Amino acid sequence: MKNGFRQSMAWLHTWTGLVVGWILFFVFMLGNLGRFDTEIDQWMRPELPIETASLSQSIQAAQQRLQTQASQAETWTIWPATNRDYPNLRIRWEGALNAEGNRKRTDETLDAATAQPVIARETGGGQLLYKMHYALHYIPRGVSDWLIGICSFFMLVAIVSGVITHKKIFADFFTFRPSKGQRSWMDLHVVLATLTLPFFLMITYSGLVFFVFTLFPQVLSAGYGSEKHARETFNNELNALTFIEERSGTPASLTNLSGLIDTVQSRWGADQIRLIEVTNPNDSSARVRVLHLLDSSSRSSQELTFDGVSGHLLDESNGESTSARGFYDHILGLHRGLFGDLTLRWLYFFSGVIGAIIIGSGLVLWVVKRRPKQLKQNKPDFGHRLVEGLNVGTIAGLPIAIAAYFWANRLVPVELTGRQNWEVNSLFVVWLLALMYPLIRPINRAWIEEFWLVSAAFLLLPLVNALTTERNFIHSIATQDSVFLSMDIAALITGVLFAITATNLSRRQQAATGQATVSAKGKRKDINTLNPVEAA
Amino acid sequence: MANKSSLLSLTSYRIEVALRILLAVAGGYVCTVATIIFLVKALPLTRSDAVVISALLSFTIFTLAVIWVFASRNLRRAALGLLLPTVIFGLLGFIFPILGGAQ
Repeated sequence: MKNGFRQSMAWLHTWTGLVVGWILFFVFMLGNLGRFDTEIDQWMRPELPIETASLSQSIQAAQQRLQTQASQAETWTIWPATNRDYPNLRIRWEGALNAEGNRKRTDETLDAATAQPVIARETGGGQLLYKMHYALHYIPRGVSDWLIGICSFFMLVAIVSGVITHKKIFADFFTFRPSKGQRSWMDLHVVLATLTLPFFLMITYSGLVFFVFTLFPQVLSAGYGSEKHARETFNNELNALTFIEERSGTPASLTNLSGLIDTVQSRWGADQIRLIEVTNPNDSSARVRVLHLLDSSSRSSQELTFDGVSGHLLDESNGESTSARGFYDHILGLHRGLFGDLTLRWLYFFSGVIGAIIIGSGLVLWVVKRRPKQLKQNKPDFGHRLVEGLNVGTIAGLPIAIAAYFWANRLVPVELTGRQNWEVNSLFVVWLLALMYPLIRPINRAWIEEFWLVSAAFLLLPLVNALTTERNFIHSIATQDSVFLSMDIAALITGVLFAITATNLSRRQQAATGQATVSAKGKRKDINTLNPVEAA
Repeated sequence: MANKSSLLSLTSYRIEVALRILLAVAGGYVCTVATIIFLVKALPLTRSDAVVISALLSFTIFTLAVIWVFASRNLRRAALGLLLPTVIFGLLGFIFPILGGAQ
């Protein structure tokens, strides 16, 4: 359509990247925070005790609670507090498939000592931040799955066409020309994208795979027909679940689950259990699956299957599977990165931050490139101003909104019913305000002021925490509370980084204004409306 | 006069872009669906494996289709390049089970 293959691809890269850039920025930011969902959960429920119960005590407590709450449920799941993903004992019970093909799920966090749910403030926590990166908020999953799926697909197209556009991918990697306006933005965009291309491509493609059966339901019906439980049949076949037993209807009391631990630990060693799943509890067909911690990028791991009534070991699987399923599992497992230790999570986090910077710099580049032409016109186009405003409101505004979510967690009264909704509402209200702010301020001022606001919001967060909980900075050092200490430090670093950004922007903008005053007094007004990032 | 003709060419450019987007999204989608249905039926694997492999390939096929549409010299070429695999794989997907293929 344009002359030449590479020019067409450059066009495709620009426009596919632009239309979904802001949503993807949101997805990347929240997905990044989701790398530390457990830690954020702990920070957002400061009342929660640190679990000290033994494994068998935890399992006993879980069984006791499930027996009283859900003796007739179809499945129970128990996550003992054995690793960083499960700092507290968690249980879930699920009912039978309902008419819509869903199951009713109930989740609880238990205190192993009392077998009662823990008492802590209602909060979406880090889990909600993580969940919003693939399910958004306020809209049903049926809609959000399509929306995120389409945006991610646009991103895949943007990546592939971007790679085609930059033929000199190796040379570009060593090219950075700072303080050269548009060229510097281009270099930044390209250097980072080259550096993290494998990660970027992996995270986008694997993210898409989560939505593949939503976007292409035909692939499922081609193999399984359009029957109602096609998805369920497919999953069972794929996972080679050999012990799916129909409920027999003959009541039989469930074996003592903590009694199975010896068998498990003799095979795996201590504290290797990821979860215990009981199907058809209190029925003669009951089965107990015990799953090993994830130790590779695959989603599956070793597992043991026991008879739920007699407690005999029935089957031992080493988590291997067909190559097709293995590939699928590894793709999804790589996206989640749950197998990783803390070091790997930080690597994931920083790669994701770079991803967000690539998206952000791409969005800024769009504006910077078109700015000279817009300045010649009397009034910039609506589209141009819209992109500028969305850039400020998203790149600087979303971090403010995330800070507001943390602030709300500490400031919304603990007793307020539905308080977790107010936490997340604060996030979106603040984001909306940040998006509208560029309407009333010149765009260059809006950038700087919003950056200052991010900085202030994060620098003050440790103070807010110290005033509203007993777990302040000094307390965290004294008790070696790594989660609270890390949160405080991370907030301070974020605040400082944004302060530096804001200072740099205003200095450069002043320099640009000063030069303009000297060289051409009459032009000063024009320069004032200039995007400060361009003056960089 | 010059103004009018440049306005015309701008309009026709915009129409072409709109048509390409439509073709890339809708045509690319249909082409991908036809291909993956064929793959599910033709791959000599167990049912669940064939579904997984085809599903994993879907986004690659879709991406290639989109790039094809925007890289083609003209719209006709772009449309033909999508139509051909769609028809072929669509028909094969129909015929394969009848011939006693993998499924």
